[in-house]
Amino acid sequence: MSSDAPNLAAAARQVHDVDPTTPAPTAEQVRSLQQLEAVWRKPRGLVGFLTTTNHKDIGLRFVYTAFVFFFLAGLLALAIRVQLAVPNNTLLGPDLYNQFFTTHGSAMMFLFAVPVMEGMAIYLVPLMVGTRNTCFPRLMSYGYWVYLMGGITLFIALALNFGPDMGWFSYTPLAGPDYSPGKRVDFWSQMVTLVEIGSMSGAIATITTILKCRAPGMALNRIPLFVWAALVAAFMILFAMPAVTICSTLLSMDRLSHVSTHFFNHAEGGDHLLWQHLFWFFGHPDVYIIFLPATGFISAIIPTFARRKIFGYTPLVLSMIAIGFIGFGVWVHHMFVTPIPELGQGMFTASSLLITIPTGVQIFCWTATLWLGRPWLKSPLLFVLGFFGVFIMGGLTGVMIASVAVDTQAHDTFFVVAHLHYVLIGGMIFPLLGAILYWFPKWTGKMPGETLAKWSLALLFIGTNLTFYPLHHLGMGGMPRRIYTYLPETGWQPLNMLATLGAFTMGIGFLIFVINLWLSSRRGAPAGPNPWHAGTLEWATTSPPSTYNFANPPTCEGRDPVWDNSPDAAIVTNLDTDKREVLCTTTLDAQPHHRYEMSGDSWWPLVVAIATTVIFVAGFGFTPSWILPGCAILAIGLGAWFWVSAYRSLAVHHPEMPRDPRKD
Amino acid sequence: MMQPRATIDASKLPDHAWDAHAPLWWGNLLLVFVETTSMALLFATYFYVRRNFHEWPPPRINEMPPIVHPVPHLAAATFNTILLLASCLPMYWTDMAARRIDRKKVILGLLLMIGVGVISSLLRWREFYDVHFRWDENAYGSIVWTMLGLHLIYILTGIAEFGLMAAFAARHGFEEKHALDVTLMGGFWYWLAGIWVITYVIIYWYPRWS
Amino acid sequence: MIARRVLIFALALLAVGCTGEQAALNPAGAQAGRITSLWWLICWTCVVVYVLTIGAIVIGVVRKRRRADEPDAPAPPTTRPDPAREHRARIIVAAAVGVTVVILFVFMFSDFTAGRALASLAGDKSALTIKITGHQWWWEARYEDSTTSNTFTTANEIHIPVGRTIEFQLESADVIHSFWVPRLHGKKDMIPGHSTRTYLKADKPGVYYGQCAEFCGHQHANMRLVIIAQPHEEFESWRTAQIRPAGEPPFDNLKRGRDVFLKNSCVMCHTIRGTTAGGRLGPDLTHVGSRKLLASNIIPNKPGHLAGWILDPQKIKPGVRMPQNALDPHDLRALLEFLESLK
Repeated sequence: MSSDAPNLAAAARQVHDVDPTTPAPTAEQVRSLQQLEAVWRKPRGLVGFLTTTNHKDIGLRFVYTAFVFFFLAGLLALAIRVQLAVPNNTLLGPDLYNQFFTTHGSAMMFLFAVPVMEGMAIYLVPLMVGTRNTCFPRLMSYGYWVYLMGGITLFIALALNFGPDMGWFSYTPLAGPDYSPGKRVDFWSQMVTLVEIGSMSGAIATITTILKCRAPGMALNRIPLFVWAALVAAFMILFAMPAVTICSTLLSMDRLSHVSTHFFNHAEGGDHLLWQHLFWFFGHPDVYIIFLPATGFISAIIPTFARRKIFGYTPLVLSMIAIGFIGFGVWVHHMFVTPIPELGQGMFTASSLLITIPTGVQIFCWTATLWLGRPWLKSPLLFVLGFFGVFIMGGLTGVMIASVAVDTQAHDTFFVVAHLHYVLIGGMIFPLLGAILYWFPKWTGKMPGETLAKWSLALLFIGTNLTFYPLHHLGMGGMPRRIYTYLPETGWQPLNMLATLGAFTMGIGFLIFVINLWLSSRRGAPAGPNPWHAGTLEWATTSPPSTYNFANPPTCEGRDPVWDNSPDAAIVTNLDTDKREVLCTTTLDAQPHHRYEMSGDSWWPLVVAIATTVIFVAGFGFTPSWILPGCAILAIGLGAWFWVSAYRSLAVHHPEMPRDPRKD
Repeated sequence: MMQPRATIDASKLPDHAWDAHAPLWWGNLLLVFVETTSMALLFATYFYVRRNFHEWPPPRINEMPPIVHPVPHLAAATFNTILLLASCLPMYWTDMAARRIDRKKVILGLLLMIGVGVISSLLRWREFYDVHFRWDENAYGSIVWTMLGLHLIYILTGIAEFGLMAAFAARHGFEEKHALDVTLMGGFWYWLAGIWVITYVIIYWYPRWS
Repeated sequence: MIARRVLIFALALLAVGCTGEQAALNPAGAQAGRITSLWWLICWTCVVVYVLTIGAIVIGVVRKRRRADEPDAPAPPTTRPDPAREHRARIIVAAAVGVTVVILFVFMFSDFTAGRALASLAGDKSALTIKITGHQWWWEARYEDSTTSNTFTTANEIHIPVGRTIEFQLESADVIHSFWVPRLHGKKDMIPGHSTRTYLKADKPGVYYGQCAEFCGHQHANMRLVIIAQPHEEFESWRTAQIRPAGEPPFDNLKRGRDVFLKNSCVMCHTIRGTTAGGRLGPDLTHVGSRKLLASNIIPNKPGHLAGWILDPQKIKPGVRMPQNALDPHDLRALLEFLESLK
């Protein structure tokens, strides 16, 4: 985390790091660094906490919050596994069980997987492209607040025994007004709306930062692969998330007693398959929105620990873009057992198989990088190896159920539960934990402990397989998903017991992982700016980075600037130090173009987030009369948001700038 | 004596950009992506729901005399379409004035655009009554009201932006960095008019053809 | 010895998908059989692919890894790789992608062929039509017949003739359910507002279990289904029996039981053909005594279980639509005898 106090020594050291041949900083340099510190410093205490717009604060805040929700959802998963360990178990009963599995799925997908990836992108992207903050700092801060409020909405509902109980996919008519009276579904749908508004805000900030604020010289074909992944995932968010906000809003309008539209009421011409189409049009791309940043982590970790440049940069980038497109063409494979025309099914089988090809290209390129390099078996790389072991299994079962015929048997059974957990745990958790170990030195300045990391990896790997491998067999043995119990006659008990033991093994693994980070952050060895001797720009600054990341933003002479840059590579100088200024470069070639002032810390994102929450949770969730007051606060908040920055950019505040003669 | 290392002197670069080089331009474009996707999904919903009806819109039989083919009335919507398309001209004029940093004309143009927005919203009010069905009568009513309503929200957003910019320009002045804001408002308004033409054809003409 | 026992136990565990009485890979009908053979083709191919890929990765990592005794600093990064080795790697990667594409084409082709084969039953003119309606949380089965009087309704236990194509017309009365009997065929959703069909054929007599596969609320877990495949004659005699309405009870006690049924809330939801009971919300009970299981096939049809079910169904299936019933013990006994007599 960034330090609040001016840290001149660090700043001076940073100039040294960029160019060790530079003599000690002059008095003027020190003064300008002091000014830079002052301009970028966030206010102290609670005020600073509530108003900060620094990407490192907000990125880490996304990550921490997501892990809190992950922990809670994980506890729910353990309860689910205990309930299923023996037949005819009455521990939870159907009502609690249904709330638990719905909240588990919803929290993992909406509150953990997507936000944690966005958090990592928000933290890493400005560092990796060599700039000082994301382009729209207040929008990003707003994104965090609405996400937080969405998440709190869901868990408050669960704590009050109002947790949603219709499944994270919320199919109508079960989720409609007739079969889910009460407010349970409304809490869920407003949570979804808020969280996805947050995702879209974050995505807009990320994309613009990547397109406009890259270090001079970082042309499109030199962007680090993680940044490419974040870019494609953010674009997918822009096109996928509107589908889920639209369908959750349509659902809440159907459910609101004074509104009562009929989108999902077949008696009045509505359609239940419409819900499924809209939901999965978001739902499947969502999987790739989660998976692509994970491939970015892998593409960052493998070259560092294979000690060579990545093999197949261009194919890897093209694969990510291909996944981004094909990901929008596979949603119907969630609906193979609904009445869909046969031709349609065939097309979606073909596209579901097709998406294997770019994924295969990625895996082969990573394998080649390992073969051609000299692997240095540190814990981040070991987690990536764990990814291979688990994810490829899930990918292959995915190929199996891309076949319509096979899917009619596997669909909605524990086979699919096994498949999706292999894909998500393998494809997302393992790379994410690896990435956290990999960048831990950057954000704490301390090295993570190796021994405990290896223990946690071993337990997680064994636990994952122990939990989810048996579920393949249970699924083909006829056990459907989302059942709160089963009969002893089915013979499903031993494998279920095994899975429950596995779940606890995983739990211990996660616990050790967290303990390791906690211990390392207290007494880990000092890391220095680049402990892994890696090649991307985040390693060209101090650990942890200063609030402004780079005193003199670097330039880029290759795909791995730290490895490729010549010793006298240029640096960017003379950015204004009396405001938060960054350099904007051209979109394709990253040639310096103009200076851009970033907005400072602000209360308005929080105000606007509260207004959004009032509109959706109170208005769409309970009674429409809350919508107008909410909109009023929203208008005031957004007005002030605009006004403040328009006022700040008046030339009168920047007297050193030459004024335009036409205005006099 | 060492050679001073190569530097890129940022102070020589301009402190703003007006076009696709500006981050705000991109942010705006991306928001328009989101809004376009939202509208497109509503269009898809419209045609999806249509398959559940023999007649589109369904005959209105719960009043006397029954209306066999209750297509929405054209007058208000057609006038609204013409108004929105025509309003692109004063918007463009305002944008050009903004690029010349002509504060008075910008304020005048924005006030004109606010007028357009208000008239368009009033016409939209009329359009809701022209649909023949309330939103809670059947899925046809639901989707048409939602499409009209979402577009109305965009119009209101536009009015709010114009009002805010005009008030700021009147109160504090108008400088080069603000010109981009007006340009982006223009982009949003052209988009709004364009997407309305599609919406108009779908809601008002498609039922007459099918 | 212990090792061998553990091995046997492990194998028995893993056989769950292939041998259980509800196992998809233990087919008893043409459709499930077709899917099973496609399944094994894809499955074994995937196993081979998995082993090869993981093998390549492990070898790649182990072969040239940094040894523990090497100095602390990592090797300097290779930023200008050897062109010859790069070229070789490119060829190998391209070849691997090519093999992937070929495998995917094989999968796609075999899936389409399997889809054709599965659809071929749909044209069978001699098919027996059964209309299944999903309810929260039980199955209504209506046997269609060209003679209206031969049409009858039953619930949860579905008898079919062996060797004849059955056309299931699937509907839902409330939320989405999914009709699934793994040993006979894959599942098909029952969506309100959409009627769907599925065709299957049992190759050998037997009892085939299934259950609702789409989450449908509280008692989704206990919405079980039984298909009993019988030789033609047996099926016809069952059918003839089912068509008959319930007769006049021969004994006073049974008459009393019938009156208890008719005077209590039972009639609000249940039908017993031949009596005035005509409720349509719950299962048809005209021949409830002939069924082997109760409560959507989760408890045996024995007087004790039936009594428990009637008195407090919420205890057995929390959330079920059937209310608790407070009955006088004599009335209860009479009611039980009456219901069990409805063969």
